[in-house]
Amino acid sequence: MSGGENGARFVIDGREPKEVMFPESVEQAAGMLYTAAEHQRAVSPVGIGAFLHIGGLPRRYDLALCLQRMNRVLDYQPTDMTVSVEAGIPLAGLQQVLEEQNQWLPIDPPWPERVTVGGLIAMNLSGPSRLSQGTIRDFLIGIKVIRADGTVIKSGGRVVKNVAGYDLAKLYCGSFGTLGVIAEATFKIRPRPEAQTVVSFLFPSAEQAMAVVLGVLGTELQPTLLELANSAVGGGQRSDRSSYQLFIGFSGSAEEITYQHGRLQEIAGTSAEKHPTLSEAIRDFPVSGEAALRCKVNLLPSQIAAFCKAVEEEALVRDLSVEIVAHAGNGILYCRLPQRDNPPQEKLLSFVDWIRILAKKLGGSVVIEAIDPALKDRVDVWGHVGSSFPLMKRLKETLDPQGMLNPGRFVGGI
Amino acid sequence: MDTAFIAQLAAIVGPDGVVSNKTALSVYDCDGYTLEKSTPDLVVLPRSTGEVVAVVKLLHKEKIAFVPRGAGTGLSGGCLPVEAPVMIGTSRMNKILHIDLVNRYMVAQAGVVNLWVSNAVKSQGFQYAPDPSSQQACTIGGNVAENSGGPHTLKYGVTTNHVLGVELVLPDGEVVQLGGVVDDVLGYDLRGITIGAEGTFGIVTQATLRLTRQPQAYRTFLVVFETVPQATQTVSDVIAAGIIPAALEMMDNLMIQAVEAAFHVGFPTDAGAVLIIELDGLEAGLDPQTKKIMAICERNAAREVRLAQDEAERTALWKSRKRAIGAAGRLAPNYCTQDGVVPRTKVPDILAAIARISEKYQLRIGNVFHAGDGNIHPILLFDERNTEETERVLKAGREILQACVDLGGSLTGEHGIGVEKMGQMSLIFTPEDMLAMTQVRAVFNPENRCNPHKIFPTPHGCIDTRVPRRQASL
Repeated sequence: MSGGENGARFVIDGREPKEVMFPESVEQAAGMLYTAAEHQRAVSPVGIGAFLHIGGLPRRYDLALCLQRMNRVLDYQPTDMTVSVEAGIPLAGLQQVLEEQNQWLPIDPPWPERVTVGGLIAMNLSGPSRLSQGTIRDFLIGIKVIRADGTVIKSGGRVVKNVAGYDLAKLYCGSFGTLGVIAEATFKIRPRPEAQTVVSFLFPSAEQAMAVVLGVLGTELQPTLLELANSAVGGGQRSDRSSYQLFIGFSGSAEEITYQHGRLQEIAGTSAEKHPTLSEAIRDFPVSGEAALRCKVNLLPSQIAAFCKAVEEEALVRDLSVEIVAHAGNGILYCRLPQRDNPPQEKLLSFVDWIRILAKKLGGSVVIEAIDPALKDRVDVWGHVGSSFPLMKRLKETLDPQGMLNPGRFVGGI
Repeated sequence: MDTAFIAQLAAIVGPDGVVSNKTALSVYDCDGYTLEKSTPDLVVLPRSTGEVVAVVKLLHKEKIAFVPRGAGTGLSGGCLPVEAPVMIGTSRMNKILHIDLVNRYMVAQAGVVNLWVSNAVKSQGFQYAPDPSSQQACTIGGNVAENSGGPHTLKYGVTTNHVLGVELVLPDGEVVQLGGVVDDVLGYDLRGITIGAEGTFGIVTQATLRLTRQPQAYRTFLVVFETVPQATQTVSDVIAAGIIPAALEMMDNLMIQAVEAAFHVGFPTDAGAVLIIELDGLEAGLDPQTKKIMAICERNAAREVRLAQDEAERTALWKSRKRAIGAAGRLAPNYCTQDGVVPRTKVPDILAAIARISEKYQLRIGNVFHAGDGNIHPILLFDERNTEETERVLKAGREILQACVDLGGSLTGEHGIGVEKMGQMSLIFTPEDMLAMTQVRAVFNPENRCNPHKIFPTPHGCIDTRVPRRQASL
């Protein structure tokens, strides 16, 4: 059950776990947590290990509790449109099962083959389709969690509408493994659309692209995704004349898609390039490629253009190239400074400070999702939480009183 | 309550913001769940977050428990005062504070009525999706507390899917902002756990609501069936065909009769069941979907399919649906509504179970419900002056919920546990589940002075000698 040789797979910020365990059932996992709690060992729940670069420096890291052997589909009722799974199943594996019935869990984060359902929930991962579909909290209708002391609890159930008891499932969405180990999850799912298409437009500025984005959102059109990428993405050269490519996706019946293409043409005023699907390069941008710095910026959609313009101008002044991909309709933007530029550490830190001030000025916030671990003790990767932080701290102390789950890795050093 | 204390409250909210007169207080003795009644000693009606804070701080200092209340349209006794002498009503906190259509959100005070939100942005083509049947009266604060649903949640989701942020006054008077305006807010989703907490974490004073575009077009059908099984099979077939209608509602014969008697909309009173099916979205997509729906209805021997010909007809259909429960008042002096949920494909099974229970307890039970979600609303008719019949109603209600749980369902889809279903919580939750939940409550409400004795069964605390609780005594 334990596998010390696996430690290298689950390195977090240069730190190897002292031990890796692979439970095969909820009971086994609960037993492992119970024993770990007894011996006051710090536990990090892990899945495949592809996203471990996100988060703060672990204060301690004794045990990696890897759920990849808990990967069964427990109950799939296509006609009820619900599915229950163990948390270690990779998202792509789940989608494959659902696809046989022409259904899907409408979440399209980067690297679906390399993220487990548990990781998806714990990190609140999302992708371009969040514009039309929402995020994992909108589909998670039931959850089974192992508390830090090994107690197994559940909330919700297998019905699509349910307000019995507190909605604990919400707490675990984005909790980063700090409140408990997610063992099982039940989702409501959706039929796959009859057809999907993606078209793109090229604009000389973010402002012009965003005018179309906000225009489309103000009409009857129902785009499934609105992704904005600057020309640096995909290896474009640094220059003072950036351009922006806007990808717009539609789905539904052929009639619906044809109608929307026509209307879009009117709104955008230029002709579109057609693509069969959104490229993986755009979908996977938030985690892929060698990066010296990766940030996730949360803004109002109306502030995206101003942010893009300011960041590009500043990067030019600082002799940095910055690649940007945004979920433009949601106000979520990913910035990447490529590793090939090899920016010195002080320059990176100064840029982080600058970008945080800019985001704050625009009413948003910045999470540093990847940076040299050596710099993580000099920068708060999550940023300031606000008036609700004392409640969050109390919640953590209530559900994990010994502070043994992923210590140090979440907001405010939780 | 002593006069000095009342004066202190009046100094905060103004003399017209304190209700202490016995007759006036009787209005507040229950919500839409009328089987249990309890009058608060005082009702305080603040106008702003600042006033709520001042009132709650005073109560905290005096160690007085309180209960928040919106419009009192709840259906599980969520705002029934149980060992909570003071009620804080949000009816005067009724302002829309900010509308941003570019970023598609609105900030509204807790006492804003659900329908006002959609009305405020209607002419610009926007709406607030959650539409509980009581939407002409119920408040946003109450919606947040109960995580309210409505007929259109089948496609659009419930309150939690449409609230971006809440401002919460904790039971010690501290104000916290949970969630926010931007999509992914840092840290734990405290907004998510507060929505649906039934007012046991504190008082929600304002909320940031997601606005959505109104659909371009609708197709609304009234489908008439001879029998209930034909109607429920149609529901299953629609879902199985991969169509997600905006709404998929069902009414049985008893409810058809009540609605027709009340509103004269032309429902066939001899029908076994009717479905209201609504499709919405782009005009271009609706006719092909309509064809599919028609074929399914035909296959299940629908007697008639009526398509609403214009907005007026559509509105009339929805009006009758949303007021159906109220129309039950025509059938009996009292009625009690259950809110169990089953997996969608188990709707025929639960309706059969309800019919058995109706017979066993010799009670008339009507059904009007969100069939597409599997969220049933059996309406148990009775006369509360007949205590023996009232006891049969309570027993039948419990048996219906047991049947829901046995079919893999839940106790409540949108009405909440409140005081009504506290005793049934152990049907679906273990002591460990409930311990975790009450521990989470203690993070927000450590002394349990905000809306005490709700949701979770307490072995002794809920039996109050001052307020005889019928359900607790059974």
